[in-house]
Amino acid sequence: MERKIGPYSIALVSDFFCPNAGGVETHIYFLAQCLINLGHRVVVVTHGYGDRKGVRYLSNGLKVYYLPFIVAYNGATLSSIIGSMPWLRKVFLRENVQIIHGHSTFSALAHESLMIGGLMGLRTVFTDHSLFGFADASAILTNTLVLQYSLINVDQIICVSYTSKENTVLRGKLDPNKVSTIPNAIETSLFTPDTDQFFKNPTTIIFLGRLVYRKGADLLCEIVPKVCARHKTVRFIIGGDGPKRIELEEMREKYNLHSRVVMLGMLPHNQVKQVLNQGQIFINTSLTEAFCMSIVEAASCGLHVVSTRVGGVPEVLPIDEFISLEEPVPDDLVEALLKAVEKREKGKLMDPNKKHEAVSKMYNWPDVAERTQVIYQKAVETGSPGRLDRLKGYYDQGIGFGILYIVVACIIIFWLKILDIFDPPAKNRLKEKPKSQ
Amino acid sequence: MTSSPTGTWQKILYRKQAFPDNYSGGDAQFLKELRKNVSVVHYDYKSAVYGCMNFLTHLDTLTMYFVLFLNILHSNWSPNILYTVFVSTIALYLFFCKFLAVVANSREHARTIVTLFLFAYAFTPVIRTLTTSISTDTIYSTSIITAILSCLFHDYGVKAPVVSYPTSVSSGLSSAIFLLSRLEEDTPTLLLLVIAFTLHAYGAELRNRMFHVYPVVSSLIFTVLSLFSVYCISSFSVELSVFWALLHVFILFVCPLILILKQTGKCTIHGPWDEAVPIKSMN
Repeated sequence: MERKIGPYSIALVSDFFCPNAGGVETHIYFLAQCLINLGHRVVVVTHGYGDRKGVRYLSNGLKVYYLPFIVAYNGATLSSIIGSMPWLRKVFLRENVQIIHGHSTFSALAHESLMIGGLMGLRTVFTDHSLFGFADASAILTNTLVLQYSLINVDQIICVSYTSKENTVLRGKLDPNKVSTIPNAIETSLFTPDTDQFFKNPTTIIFLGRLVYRKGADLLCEIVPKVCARHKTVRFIIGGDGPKRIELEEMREKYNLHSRVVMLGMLPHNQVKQVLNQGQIFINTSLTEAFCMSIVEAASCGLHVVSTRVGGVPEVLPIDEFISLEEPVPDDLVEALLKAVEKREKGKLMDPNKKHEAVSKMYNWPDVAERTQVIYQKAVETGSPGRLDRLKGYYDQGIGFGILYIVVACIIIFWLKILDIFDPPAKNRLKEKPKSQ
Repeated sequence: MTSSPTGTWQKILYRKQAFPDNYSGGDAQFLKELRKNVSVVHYDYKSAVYGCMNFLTHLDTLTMYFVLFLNILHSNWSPNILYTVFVSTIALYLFFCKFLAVVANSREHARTIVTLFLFAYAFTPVIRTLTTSISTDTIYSTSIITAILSCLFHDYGVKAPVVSYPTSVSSGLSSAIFLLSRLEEDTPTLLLLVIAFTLHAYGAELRNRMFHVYPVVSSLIFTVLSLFSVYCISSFSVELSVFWALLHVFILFVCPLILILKQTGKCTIHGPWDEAVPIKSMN
């Protein structure tokens, strides 16, 4: 970096944040922390979780607004536009926010604040964390009704992998130059290898993840008995819970593999390292994945990864050295696993400590934050389109649903004007003044 | 920033490259793996016409059923015609079992016929009087509506999510049962009931197999059937029969043309972001 960027005042907005755990939540948490370390001013805006409402400070000094919105579906809020608009406006004004950074396609709150923030004249950035197909009804609906309209007026967009970028560009009909790729990262110091167990434990294959269709639980169910039949001693440890757990337990019962397949059930995130350390090989059977943090975590713990070749997975780790990729066909994956087991038995797998070092250099949050602030700079430096241009943006996306968005935008503009009269921005911007509302 | 020594961009995330973050390989690399229209089916005009013929054959048979019913009701046709239709239906059914059915099992089929016939015979008085108290207009309109419903869910040999055999058969049968309540006697009711049942329960399979195995014969049968249905309707209403003939022309020739013209716009997008379908190995 030639010159210092910022400092900016940034609001990270998403429906998904602590106390929930997951990819998006971790991403926001670490990104916020590293941005603070870079000298920016960061607040997180999310919806209330049960009793957790109002303003909270996390232990790293991060200020979080838990706004009392209704949660409609799957943890996403109900977009009520005028209901939430005064809240969001107040927060953005009070915190003197310059940049709104929304996360996740599924988060209605993020889309809503991008729209409102954009109309308030703030800069907007959006990060997409997931891949969508173009064939099923839900994907078509989110693509054509939400994403396309929501992203047209966003200044900069970030995706977590190149595949995800291609996907987002197609879905949102965007200019590829507006879309940047910044991968996720992991806190590698939390995922250290355990050399003792790595070399002394019997060969163990680990699976961690929700046991659902999309994570390839059906594939796993076929792979396990085949590997066990062809290799006499290899063990499996399966962590995670989900609707497919019953099928896996039936499989264990049917092939009498109780001594060789350990099922741990739901794991809290802080135990992941302990489980990963028990094995040498990690299997990922996901059917779709934008980035796949869990394979990076496994690699950071020194494990060799065997994975399906889907989505952004091939971009994440160096092929052969760190990861073996196969098509989602059980027999191919079985072959790959057995090859990896053979490598391990001959001592040909990379030293876990070396692997940890390498992964630590590949992915770390300070780097992600530095790359993200470049995007912020771009967003600030490009001129913000006026309100009329924004309306035209909606119009250009197709008149049918465009009218609806234009009407909503007009309503927001109207209320913003009214609120500016009764609650002038200048009054809100006065800081260091204790307020209770 | 450590730069990649080679200077060419790679689609990888694990090494920082000497390109800005919004670079993704330029036009040559970006969306390289995008494929279009992988699973799209393009129809030719002839097969589209045959498909429409299949559809129209069903419409014609249903219409002929209504015509038969009305003529029996008003005693325009002698009951002998009904017997003939009944016998030919059974004959067609046996022909279907013998030559067209995928799994041939004549004994099973014979048992089905006898069982159905006996049940129908036993329940005819009940079925005939079930909706007698309801006004004739209501009966006719309900019957037409259920017949249309049956047509919507009917299987015309195309795999589509809307196709539902149980829905089609039960709405078709209820359409017939509504009509039968207008009859006075049990014997024609029984015969019409059995005809309706074979028409709805086995008609689809028979027709689809016929169009699959003997397309030329089927199109001849269709021509005769459609001309005959137009003629029969003309004895009730000339306007309706003209409309019916025009509808035939429209569906048979214009609709396939629209399909052919419109299908060039078919476009599906596939790429690495698609959810993979796990291939199950044979056990």
